[in-house]
Amino acid sequence: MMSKGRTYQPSMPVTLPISSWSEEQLLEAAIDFNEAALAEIYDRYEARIYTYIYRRTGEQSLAEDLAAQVFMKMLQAIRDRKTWHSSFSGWLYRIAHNLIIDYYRQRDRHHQVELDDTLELVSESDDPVRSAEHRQTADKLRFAMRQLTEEQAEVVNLRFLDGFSISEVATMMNKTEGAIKALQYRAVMTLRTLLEHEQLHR
Amino acid sequence: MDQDFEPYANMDEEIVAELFASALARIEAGEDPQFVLSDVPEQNRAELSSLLGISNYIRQAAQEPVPPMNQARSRAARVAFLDQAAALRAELQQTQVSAQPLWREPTAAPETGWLVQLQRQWTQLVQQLQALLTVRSVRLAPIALTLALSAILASGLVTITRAAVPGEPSFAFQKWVWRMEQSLAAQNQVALIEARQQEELRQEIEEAAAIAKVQATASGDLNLAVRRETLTVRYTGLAGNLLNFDSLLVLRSYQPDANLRATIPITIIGDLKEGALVEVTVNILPGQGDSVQGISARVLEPTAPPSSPSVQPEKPSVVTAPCEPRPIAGWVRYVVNPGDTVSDLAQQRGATTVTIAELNCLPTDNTIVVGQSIFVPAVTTTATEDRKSVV
Repeated sequence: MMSKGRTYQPSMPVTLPISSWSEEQLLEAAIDFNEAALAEIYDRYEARIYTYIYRRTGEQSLAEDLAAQVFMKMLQAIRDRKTWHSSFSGWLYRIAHNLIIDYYRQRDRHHQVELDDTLELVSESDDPVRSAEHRQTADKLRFAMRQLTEEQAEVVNLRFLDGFSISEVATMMNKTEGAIKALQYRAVMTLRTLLEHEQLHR
Repeated sequence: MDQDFEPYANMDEEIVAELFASALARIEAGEDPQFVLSDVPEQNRAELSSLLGISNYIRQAAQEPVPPMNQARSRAARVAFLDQAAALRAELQQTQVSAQPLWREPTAAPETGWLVQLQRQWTQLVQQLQALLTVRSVRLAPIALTLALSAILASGLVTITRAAVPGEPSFAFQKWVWRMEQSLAAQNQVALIEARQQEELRQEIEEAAAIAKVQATASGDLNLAVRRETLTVRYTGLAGNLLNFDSLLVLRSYQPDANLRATIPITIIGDLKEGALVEVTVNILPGQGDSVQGISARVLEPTAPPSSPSVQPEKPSVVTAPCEPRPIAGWVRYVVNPGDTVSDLAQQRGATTVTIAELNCLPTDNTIVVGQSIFVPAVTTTATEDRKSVV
């Protein structure tokens, strides 16, 4: 994709509506900051990126902010000519992943992060509503996930939260399938240790 | 490169990892877990079972419902994205057109449309006028000025400022127009006009905050997106840690550096009593559209002293008075249920966490207790962004 120079004759079907363009055609146009193509890419990926970030942070407002940043960084990367090599979506998720890591790193610098940081409610009730249960489980997992390496966390997110297959994840992360299997195995082993440890000390 | 990951400690580890991967894939494909496990060599079965259990737990945790994005913010983000794309496209076309630019592009905004130039000229004119005139003297101004104003209001130029947002050059013009409207109105109309202008101001602050939030996330430094504005409003009272100016909520302190938590209390100049006309200087923070940070408040027109000659007890200064939760128009009492959080309540009701926390004098970590009674905005029947229907 990036080997093409800035001046070229686009081969896009100008008569077809933009919503039917293939991703490859959209990306070709996006390199030139074609507004319609960029808008279509934005619309196709916004919800997925937001969901990806929300699942990993548990905070809606933060997820919205970071999602917006992901697309801004995409524009910067196009301008700086440092864009995707193989998989566009994998590249986009990687940007999101890095933003999440940076955010928590910066936050941890300023004050201690505790599990309860994400919980604002002080409740005596021992019969929580279903959504509160989900929330607690999700928060526990999110906290444990932050102890994984970046790559391990990404594999867990892509495999278990987004449901991509080993080969898909391998493409997205630009690794061999063997590497993904190894990461998956180590990640789950680590999480098991962390979650069991948490259970014992409740 | 033959291996792009840390090598396994031993052969056993690699075997388990492979078994795990294929068992997982089969279960994801829909096969019965028990059946899949029975295919695993007996000495690995317990380990595999445990790993698959954790995988199941992880997948269950992912069932947490994802709240939908806030529509206003989403729209604002999309607009900012496309604006940036347009700017970069223009930049790209510049470098394509001329290999060697003959002149330097100014670092200011690349737009040079006639509309923007006209706005700049008007802003200069307005600022000169503002330096010469005050609201009072305009009342006594000659007819010529009044006629000129009517002509201006009747012309399409006023429509430019309808979208004016605090922090932009045309907002100064918008405020001038507001002042003119007030000064020309009959006495009994002033209160109505003020109320309408307060409402317009609130909406514009919300918009400014939404747009600034998107810009702030792009730049990383919140200070670049904070907008400082000076507004003339009427003081209606204290509500928690907020100074209420006809439902424009101003915090009793501000952050000199938006990236740090440290705050400085607001400076009050003059006798701040209910009904006083006050000039407040505030910071509008990105994403914080329903309350602003108070930097200073200068009383322009104090309220008339009470007719009763009895001595009023000395009230504590507005800045140091202890925090007492008090509702404002459109807010109602609410009893906290299990599972409620301040941020959920804020989101459901079109407010921000900060405003609810400050109005209710909540502790710094925003803890609320089941059964606690707090004030929150009333729920609207239409979309929460449309706050016209509240009150």
